[in-house]
Amino acid sequence: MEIELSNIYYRDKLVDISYKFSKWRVTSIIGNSGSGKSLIGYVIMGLVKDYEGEVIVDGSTCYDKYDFFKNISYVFQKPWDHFICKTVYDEIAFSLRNFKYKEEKIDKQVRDALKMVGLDDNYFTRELNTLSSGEASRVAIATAIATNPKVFILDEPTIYIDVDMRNMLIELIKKLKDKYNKNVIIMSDDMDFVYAVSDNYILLDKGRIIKSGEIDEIKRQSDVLSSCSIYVSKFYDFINFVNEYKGVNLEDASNIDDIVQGVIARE
Amino acid sequence: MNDMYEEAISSSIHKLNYAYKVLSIFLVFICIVLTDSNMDLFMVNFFIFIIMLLTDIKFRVYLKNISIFSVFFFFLFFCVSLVNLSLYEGVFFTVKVIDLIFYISIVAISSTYYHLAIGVRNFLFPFRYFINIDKVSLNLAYSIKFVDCLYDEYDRVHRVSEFRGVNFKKMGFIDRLTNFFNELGILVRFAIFSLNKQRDNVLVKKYGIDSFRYNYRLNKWGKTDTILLVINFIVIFITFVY
Amino acid sequence: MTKIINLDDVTKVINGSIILDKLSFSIEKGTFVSIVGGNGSGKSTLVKILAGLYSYNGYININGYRLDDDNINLIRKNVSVILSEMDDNITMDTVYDVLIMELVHLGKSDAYIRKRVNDICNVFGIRNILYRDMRLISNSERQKVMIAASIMEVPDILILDDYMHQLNVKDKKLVIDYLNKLKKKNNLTIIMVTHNMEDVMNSDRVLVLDHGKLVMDGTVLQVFKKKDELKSYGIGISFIVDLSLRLMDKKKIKHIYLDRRKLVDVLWK
Repeated sequence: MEIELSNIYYRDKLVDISYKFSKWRVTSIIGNSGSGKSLIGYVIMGLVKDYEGEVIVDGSTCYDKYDFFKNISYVFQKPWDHFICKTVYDEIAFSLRNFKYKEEKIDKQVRDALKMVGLDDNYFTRELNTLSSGEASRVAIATAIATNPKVFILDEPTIYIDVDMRNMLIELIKKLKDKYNKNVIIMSDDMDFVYAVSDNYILLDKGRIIKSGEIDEIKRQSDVLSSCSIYVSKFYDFINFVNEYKGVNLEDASNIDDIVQGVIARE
Repeated sequence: MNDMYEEAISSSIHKLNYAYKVLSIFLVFICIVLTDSNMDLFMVNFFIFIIMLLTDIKFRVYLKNISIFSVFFFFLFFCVSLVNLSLYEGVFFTVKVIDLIFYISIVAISSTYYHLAIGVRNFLFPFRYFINIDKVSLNLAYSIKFVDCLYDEYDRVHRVSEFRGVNFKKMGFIDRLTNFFNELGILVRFAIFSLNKQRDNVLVKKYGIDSFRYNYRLNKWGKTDTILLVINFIVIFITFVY
Repeated sequence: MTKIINLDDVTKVINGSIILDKLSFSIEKGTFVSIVGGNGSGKSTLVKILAGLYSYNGYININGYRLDDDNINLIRKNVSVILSEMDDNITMDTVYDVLIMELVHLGKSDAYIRKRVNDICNVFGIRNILYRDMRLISNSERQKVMIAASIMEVPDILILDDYMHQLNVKDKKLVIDYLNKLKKKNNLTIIMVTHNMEDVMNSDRVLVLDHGKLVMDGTVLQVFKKKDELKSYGIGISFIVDLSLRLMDKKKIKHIYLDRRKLVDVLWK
């Protein structure tokens, strides 16, 4: 399912947003807080209604809402904005029941979804109000994957999760893209995460698209990111620092091991 | 008021003195108790309608807010009609109750939990030697704000339910009713959860509810407060006399 | 140094699960302590207990007072707590109202209030949003304002539960620098619960929780050195320490560097 935004204007918060989210790609929307990242998600999902411009789904502006929601999963930034049932099991099963999965299948689907986010069967009966923020984030992601949609929108998924889940999420997104051909849209300013998973990016500042393109382009352009008050990833921050401070160019390095190898190789 | 997707509204009603807001609930309650004729009812409705307009919040929001209690209102209507063997009595009484809850929802929507807690505390300040005004204010504010929180959760759950495949357009009336009843328990639960978080945030304040002094520079008693207070008393007087 | 917070054998059970398990530690006055842990380690519960919102078994002493219902109001007057769900309580007030609230409660004079607001505006750069509604400012600005509001009247202890994640680069630096200044000048004790390992680098001491138990306790250097153990708890380490450890492993450097300038000096003479 292909989603395209055409000349979206929303109050003064989004200005002339036009972008086509390519199929089978992970696109990250980067921008500092207040740039309008979440709003793009709200516009796509119809959470805000008084915007100008069009959301085009598979080439058409008139699309059936029910089918649309069947094929897209949205994960809110705060996991508690997500929850509408009593227990973890019910929460994940809710969507499955509405989309008419068979009851026998549902049990397995829930189990699989929880396994993908590192939670075991003990969580079936846990009440949603008793979850910690990390656990709640995981359940929210599990709910999104359970219905096997074509498009995922993840709004700042890395805020509450720990290192284990973060690595799991990176693997999960890669699998969704490569193996299952999903379209993933992520809003984040966690640049390390963005670099690890994305293919394309959109850079937002004050509601406008400043730049967009393939992710490799933006990796080295720390000055552009800094001017938008975004954290440059820790890795590239270091590379830039070495360049500025010592004039040493570590261009070939793409991860921490490369730096180590580079130091070893020098001698 | 779920401001996530709506613009942050700040009207003259939002900025009223907190103690006045709480006092006004009490005064409107008295008005409603004293209402015994069509003229009275019309006047009280008119007053509440004007206040509602002044909040700049869409009528649609209030309508949805009240609709949560619709089953309760129907129940009330049937009971009162049956007891008095008169449809007119039933309607009259139910409209009075709707008005009260409507007014409480206006105050709840235009105030935060903290404002309400302070408002109640200031209102009860003269009784501080007889009751634990800190505890009472936190609890009473909780009850008032609950109406608004319930609506917030109702709104949120509905939006999210659509994402999860609930097709409201295809649902008949009976379906919607059963859906609503199923939801009610969950809604109350979420409202309590959300309100508890708000109460926690008030409780951890360094100089919290117990040290809030009435006479200072924030939230002064203003002209609008006095005007509305006078109107309140006029309405009470009229409902009492007629 | 005096110990300002003492925990002894603190246990908390919720719905049959042990959230905190015989936790014992002390925190010294004027230190910047980070509390880290994987998901479900009990960090937020610990903060809520210290904030007086939950009951507990065991013994907790804050600022010389036993933490119980009788003393809680007294204790609260010197402890600023910012819960992670503070954003849920978005007030309908302006930034200015939120900032002066505490000072007004204390009956401070108009002149004092003016001066204090002025100082904070200069440090945090919020003069341009001073009269704006709290709901209309960006997430980063809002967190900045809430933190500023909690230290308008500098408390003895400031507890932050994962409340810096929305701050952008500049704002985070401003906040951390100011908190460090208060630490030195006013002996402010800072307790920061966080997931962000780069933020942890600013602290004097790190406490690592796992499933409610205190499993590691030491300086940033002592704790980050044990990268594999941290990984088993679901916690990472900062970039510079990670690089140092890998280089040490290959025998290229002799010890861990916390300051990247020094590390780069050594690597590229």
